Amino acid sequence: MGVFAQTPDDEFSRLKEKYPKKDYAYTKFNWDLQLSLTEDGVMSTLMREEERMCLNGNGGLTREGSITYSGFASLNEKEVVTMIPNGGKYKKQKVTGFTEYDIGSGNSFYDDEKTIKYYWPNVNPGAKQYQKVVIAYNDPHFTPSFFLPPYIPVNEGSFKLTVDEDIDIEFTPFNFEDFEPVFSEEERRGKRVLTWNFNGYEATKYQKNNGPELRFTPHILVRIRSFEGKYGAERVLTDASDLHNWYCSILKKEEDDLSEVTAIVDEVTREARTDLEAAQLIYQWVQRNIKYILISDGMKGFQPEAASVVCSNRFGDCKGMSNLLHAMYQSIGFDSKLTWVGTRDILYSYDEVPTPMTDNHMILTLDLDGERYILDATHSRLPFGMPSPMIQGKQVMISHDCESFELQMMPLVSADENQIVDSIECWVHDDDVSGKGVATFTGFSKMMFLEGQSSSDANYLKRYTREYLLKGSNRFVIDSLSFEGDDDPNIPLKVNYTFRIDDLLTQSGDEKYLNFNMSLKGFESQPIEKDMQTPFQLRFRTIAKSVATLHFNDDEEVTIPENFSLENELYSFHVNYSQSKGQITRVAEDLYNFIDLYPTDFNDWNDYIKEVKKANRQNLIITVSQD
Amino acid sequence: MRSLILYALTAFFSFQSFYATAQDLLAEYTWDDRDWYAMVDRESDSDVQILLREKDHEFYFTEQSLEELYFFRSVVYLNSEQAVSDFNKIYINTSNAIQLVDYNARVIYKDKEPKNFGSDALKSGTTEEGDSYEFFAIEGAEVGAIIDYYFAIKKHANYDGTHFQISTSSPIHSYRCRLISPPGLIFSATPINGDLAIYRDTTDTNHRVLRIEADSLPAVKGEPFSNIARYNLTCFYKLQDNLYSSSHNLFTYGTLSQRIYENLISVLDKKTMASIKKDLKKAGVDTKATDLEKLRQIEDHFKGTIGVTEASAPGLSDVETILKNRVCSEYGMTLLLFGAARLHDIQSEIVLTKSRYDVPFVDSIVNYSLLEHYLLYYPSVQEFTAPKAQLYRIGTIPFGYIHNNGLFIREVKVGDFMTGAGSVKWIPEYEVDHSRHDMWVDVEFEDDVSNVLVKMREEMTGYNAINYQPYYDYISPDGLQDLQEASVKSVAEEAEIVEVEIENEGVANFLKEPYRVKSSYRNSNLIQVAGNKVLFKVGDLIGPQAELYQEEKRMKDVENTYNHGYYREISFSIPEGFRCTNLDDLNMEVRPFSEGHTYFTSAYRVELDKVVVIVKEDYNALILPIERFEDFRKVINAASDFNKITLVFEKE
Repeated sequence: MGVFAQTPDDEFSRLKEKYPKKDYAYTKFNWDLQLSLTEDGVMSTLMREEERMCLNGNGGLTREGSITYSGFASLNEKEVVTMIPNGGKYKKQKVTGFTEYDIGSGNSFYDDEKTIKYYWPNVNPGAKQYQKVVIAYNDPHFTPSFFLPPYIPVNEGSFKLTVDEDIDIEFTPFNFEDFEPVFSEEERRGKRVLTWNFNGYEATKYQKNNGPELRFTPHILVRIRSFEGKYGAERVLTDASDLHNWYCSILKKEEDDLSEVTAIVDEVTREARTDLEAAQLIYQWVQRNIKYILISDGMKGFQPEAASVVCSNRFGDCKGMSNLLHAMYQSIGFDSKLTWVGTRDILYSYDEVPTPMTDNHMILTLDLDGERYILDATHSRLPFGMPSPMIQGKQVMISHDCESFELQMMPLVSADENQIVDSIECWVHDDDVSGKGVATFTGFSKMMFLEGQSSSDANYLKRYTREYLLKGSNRFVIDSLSFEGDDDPNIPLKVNYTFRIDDLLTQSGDEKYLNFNMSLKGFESQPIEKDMQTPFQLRFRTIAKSVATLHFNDDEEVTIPENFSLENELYSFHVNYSQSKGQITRVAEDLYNFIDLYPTDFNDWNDYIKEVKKANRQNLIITVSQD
Repeated sequence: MRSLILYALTAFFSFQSFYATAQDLLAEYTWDDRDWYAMVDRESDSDVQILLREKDHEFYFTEQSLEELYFFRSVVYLNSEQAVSDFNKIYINTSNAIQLVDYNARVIYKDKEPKNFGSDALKSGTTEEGDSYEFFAIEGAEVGAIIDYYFAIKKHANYDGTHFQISTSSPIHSYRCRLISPPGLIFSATPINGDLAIYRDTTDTNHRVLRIEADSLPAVKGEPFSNIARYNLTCFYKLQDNLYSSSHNLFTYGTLSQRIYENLISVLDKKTMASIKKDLKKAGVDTKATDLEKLRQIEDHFKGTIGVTEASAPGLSDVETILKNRVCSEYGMTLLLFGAARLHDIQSEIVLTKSRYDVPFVDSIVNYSLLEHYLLYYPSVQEFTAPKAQLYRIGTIPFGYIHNNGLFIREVKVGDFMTGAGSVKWIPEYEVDHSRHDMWVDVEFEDDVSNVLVKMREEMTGYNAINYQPYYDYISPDGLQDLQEASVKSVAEEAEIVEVEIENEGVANFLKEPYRVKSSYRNSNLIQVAGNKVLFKVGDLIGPQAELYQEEKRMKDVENTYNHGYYREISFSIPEGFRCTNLDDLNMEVRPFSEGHTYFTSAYRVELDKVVVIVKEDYNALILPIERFEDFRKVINAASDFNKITLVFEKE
């Protein structure tokens, strides 16, 4: 095939026509990963060459670029250039002002990630931004993987993986359902060369509710199974047992002075009548007394802090907190096990890809009296034995004192366990409604409410609770408020309150109309944007129930709307009106029986919402009898 | 701003005869053992109580310059889990520090021994903004504990004017600050928003010591429609006199104005002006146009082709480099706009100010820390512009700068010499009609009166347009539809939009033509049913309104962001076969201010078969005293009450 010269103008018009809705398109997105045997093991060297053309927008605004790399990597080379159209060619303008920072805006207290920031000069439509970096990793457990850009199309791009003969690798592609790259494999000078070609990759439309990019962006995980080392074959990550063994090799082996830890265990369990009660009390002590602080510092990111240190500091990360809980249970002979897990943002299971990228969290498994309890103390208000919302439905790796391990799937917590039931009784005065209510929260719903309620400020608590319990209209006002069960993890949380909603009724002649939809506004289902391409996610499955009773006078008659019911296995809504002497009761229940709702289900969901809203538009008619 | 001032003041202290080192100044610090728990207010529901806050700014000479040892100590009672989360990590900003000299922390418990910890846990890092920090986690913090920590940093002295905020969102039981200097350096301190005991402590004869103290300071918390900066007790200080050089009344606005002006003029030399002129040629400024039009064309050119960044690098304020790289700092854009106006013989005044939401520019205080940002004022057209604000143009500056003072520096001739003269003047707010959001809404009932088709025309100006109109020049085509629909969605979130047509989009139209959105949408939520009656939620047509329904004791005056007004005209025909029984509900009049400002009214009339509702709402007093808060609340809630109006259609 002949090569023909293409002027910057030609290239710009061609790409602009091809990607009319995009700000940028990659004209090069080439990653070249070489895995080579060295004296000490395997060196992974990744060269990323990325060049994108600016298709829209005004070059007057500054354009920021960055290079981020972890503490396990070294940045060997970087080159950043703006390519400015200049007649038939591009003129290169090198970026020189680089600033480095290492305190991110994320929630970690400390991590070893570094970012180099710079500004691209002269980026007007038609200009190209070129960036080339070479990053090396010398620990074979941290082989870099390939990620396509989530939102920018790739006109031309490839991933080339070159592997020395004596390195056994495995690659696993994810999120390639809508795009199939052209794959080829060959042998070149004794090396295995695998190439994926991504020309014409369209990328996802950016929307603010898209969720974690890892869940929809196409990527290829690469892992080294084993290699021929100095002393023969060395396993790296052949299967989950290698990952488990490697994790165990990192755990601290030194003796730990557990005097403070055991003293606390004695104190906390003094009143416990059963082993289960003791286990619960210890768990709650850690939940409430140890503050979670995320620390990710090199290998410390994989190594739990000593139990005594976490206990004395009163803070720790997930590994430190699990290790302390482990030490506490072991001190009284309980069978607890350190357990690794990936949060729901991470798609992989250990069966599929046993790598350090598969998990990012540590919890504890407790086997007690024939029951197994999963314990995550990083959530101060998580009920005993419940996995946290972010790890439910995931595979866990449970270590039996590093002798052996087991993989287990955690169930998704059922909606029944995470209920909010709001029961109110109310009365009408003129156009206003007032009354009293009890909102009962269980499971994750209780956890969520209490985690946001960590202040002692009375005004804040009122505002916070009002947001949760808002119903009827925004004239909903809480007059008094009290809590029960907020300090006891074993009983539901009850929020007792009195309230007013002025101007809720509409009068016409001798009739009054009242929309008695008293369901909590924050839990009413909302439609999903029609062009959303990624799953709609909830934190957990839940039921929001509203039981509302309206008392009326003997001289009033009330006409009630029709009942309504619509359900399928993912979600349902029921509303029931009943009437007895002097009162009517509306019972409504919203069931959310999913965590991920996929784009193929969006139309049905939106139709369902329409019907629900229609049912909720029905009003009560209150008539004052004329006798 | 800072770099320019320092540039003007180097070598100021070069002949001092005695100097000290930080090590001399900071003796080994020992904890004092007071009964801290006796200070805790048991009745308070505050998450945090600051039992003691101590600060020292100790100035001392070195061989080359004046340095400062800054000491900070805080003793904090933690009353909730939120407080533990907020205070278990301590960050020390060391950006301007020469050295972190010392730090320590301990946790005090009610019923056990305090936990002291050493200095091995210190970590350091740099933020994206370029600030460097040393930081550590507080070990052993828990609800009911008291944390006590201090640090001391050595830094280049900040003596030409600075301020610090004393009050916080938590109550402070005791506040103690000292400004310590060699005897010949006299510092002055002035508070705003409250009283401080400021007095000279003569017990230390080797130093001049100014004490700044306060007890029992209440928490200062934000409230809706208020400006917390007017309530935060804040102290300004600066070096007033240097007896070693017999210099008095230092750091005045007069001398600074001269320096700033002369510096600017020296930068804008012949060659630089020629470069600006060459670049400006591309804009094709119409020489016959009015000053206002010329200034707009100049600004459109530079702000449209050069990015203004927060980053600091030498090239960002150098005109030649800016014109090549098309990126500049705030000062860089100020130079360009000032120089370009000069090329067209339009006089500009440099204005230095600070956002009123950071700290109000009080005219009785002379302090360089109030001079944070640049504005330009053009006397011939009596308008301001903000060089830093990329999307703003002459005639509108970000609302933090309005209703505030600024230092205005104008060109004056002294003999044959041109220099700058500064005076503090008021930067006024804009009138109500500067920022409007008006709408004309026409409603048609459909499908047996179970749905409505709404045709709406919206017009937005000023601050009400800034979040939409200019962004069309920068929006990705992928995001275009969202931007077009944004104002419609803000009125009717769940609307099923049929079509949207935009007029006057883009920066070029901003402040010249209203941003206009013509849309039509369906919204079945506007219709409710009661038996065979139809309930038309007409009030929702104006979109959800701000409300102040939940009652809390008001502590502050009302302060609006900017004056703004709304005109809404809603018309509909009562569906055939129905009559409306409660049209009079549409009449509302809330005018609590006899002065005629800040009101909400709604009235309807019937024209042939149409009902036309006119809703007017104006906020044309930026500040209202706390005594009028209830009246203001009535107006705010009136708009939200209008949302509740439901018309009843019954069969004829």
